Amino acid sequence: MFEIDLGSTGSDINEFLSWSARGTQDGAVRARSFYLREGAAKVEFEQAQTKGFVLDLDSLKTGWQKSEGIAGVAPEWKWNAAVNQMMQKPGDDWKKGISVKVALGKDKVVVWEQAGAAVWQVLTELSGKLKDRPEGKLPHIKMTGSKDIKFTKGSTAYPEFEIVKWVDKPDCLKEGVAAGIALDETPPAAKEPAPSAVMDDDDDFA
Amino acid sequence: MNGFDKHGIKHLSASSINLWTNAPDVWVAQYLFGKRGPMSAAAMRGICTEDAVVAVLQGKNADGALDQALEKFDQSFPIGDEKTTKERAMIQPCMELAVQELEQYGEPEFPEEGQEKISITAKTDDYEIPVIGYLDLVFPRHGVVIDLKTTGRCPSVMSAEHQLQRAIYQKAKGNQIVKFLYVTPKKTNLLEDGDPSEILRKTKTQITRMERFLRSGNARDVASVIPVNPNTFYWNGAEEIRQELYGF
Repeated sequence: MFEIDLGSTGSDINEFLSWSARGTQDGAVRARSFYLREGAAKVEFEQAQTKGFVLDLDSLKTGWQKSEGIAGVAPEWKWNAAVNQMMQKPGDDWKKGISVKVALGKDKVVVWEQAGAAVWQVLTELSGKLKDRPEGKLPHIKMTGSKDIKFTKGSTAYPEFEIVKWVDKPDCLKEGVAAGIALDETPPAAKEPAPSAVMDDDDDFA
Repeated sequence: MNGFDKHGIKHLSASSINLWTNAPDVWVAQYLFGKRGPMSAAAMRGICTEDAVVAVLQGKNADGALDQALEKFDQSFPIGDEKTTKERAMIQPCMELAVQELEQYGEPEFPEEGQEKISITAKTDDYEIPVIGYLDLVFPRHGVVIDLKTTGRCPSVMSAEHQLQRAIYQKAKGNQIVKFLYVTPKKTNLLEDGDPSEILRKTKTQITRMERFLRSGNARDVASVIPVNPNTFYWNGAEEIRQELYGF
């Protein structure tokens, strides 16, 4: 029996940002582009290259993901205790991945939760630039192009980013008191049907 | 004008000479074009461990010294992968073992500007160039200079590269004994291999060849003819530089 994917973000954000090296089979998303996914619907996100987005580094999690690659089946995640240390690979089928909140403009928050060589390469390249992070600021990044990664077998492509500027945390990324919201007990919002598992772009080795 | 003057090279070092010998294409990129790859996690682990060891030998609290060392490492590698995590995890045991081994010498001495700089001169009729270095730990009361090398595997014999480094330090420090302390998370080994005079005689030949090479053209000229070895580990993390400079 397939498990229903309830997402693993632990938040009530139901829209997800993803990178696709090869595009989707239905043509909705072109190769080497970002898309937004809510439920089963996927919409290409061209603003990654025009306006960019703000990465909430304070929400960043890294870890290992195991995915069966079947729509509707939740990928399994094992998160690191801290982002500066990576736990041992749980098994051969696991891939490094990330989860991070992303602000699109002033009001919209989505989650970029994805595993694979491409997304990890993005993080690796960004990591080298984080040394210059001003206290409390977040990077507003914009995609500048894409680059190939070749493996012993097969290849993928990852998005290249520039840090446009360092910005204060947008209100939409603030939580609780920081966002000016009273922390009264309220019933938790019912979760939408979960994001579908995504075929990993790195699976397609020749 | 000799080759060093032609390219504005004011001094050499053990690492420069070793790189010239092992990977001249990488040497050209670094020293003639000023293009260096990012510091590796292993190199940063060594620096952070040394900082912590020095701090403890100077009487600071071991936990505090370790925290500072880890913080420094994390500043360079804020997001950990398997490799950086492995290197980070070596800092504490290497620090503890190194301190155990070095406590017998007491507190090391440092000049106000930080590490003690040494310099010897390589000289022929055609050129004269300083070969410089910086000493890790100097214990004048014991007449001992120790260079700390953290490593994943403890060697039983020093590498040729480290023997050259030791030879330069030994020549510069005269009657003080220069030793290299190798530290892994599990063991230490104090070594002083190689005959400094013999090593420096051979090294001078390499330096002379380097000078002649530099005399043969400008930076672009020499980069256009030097053999390129894309498979050497010296290019790790600097592949873009290789692509930019050599085209592959």
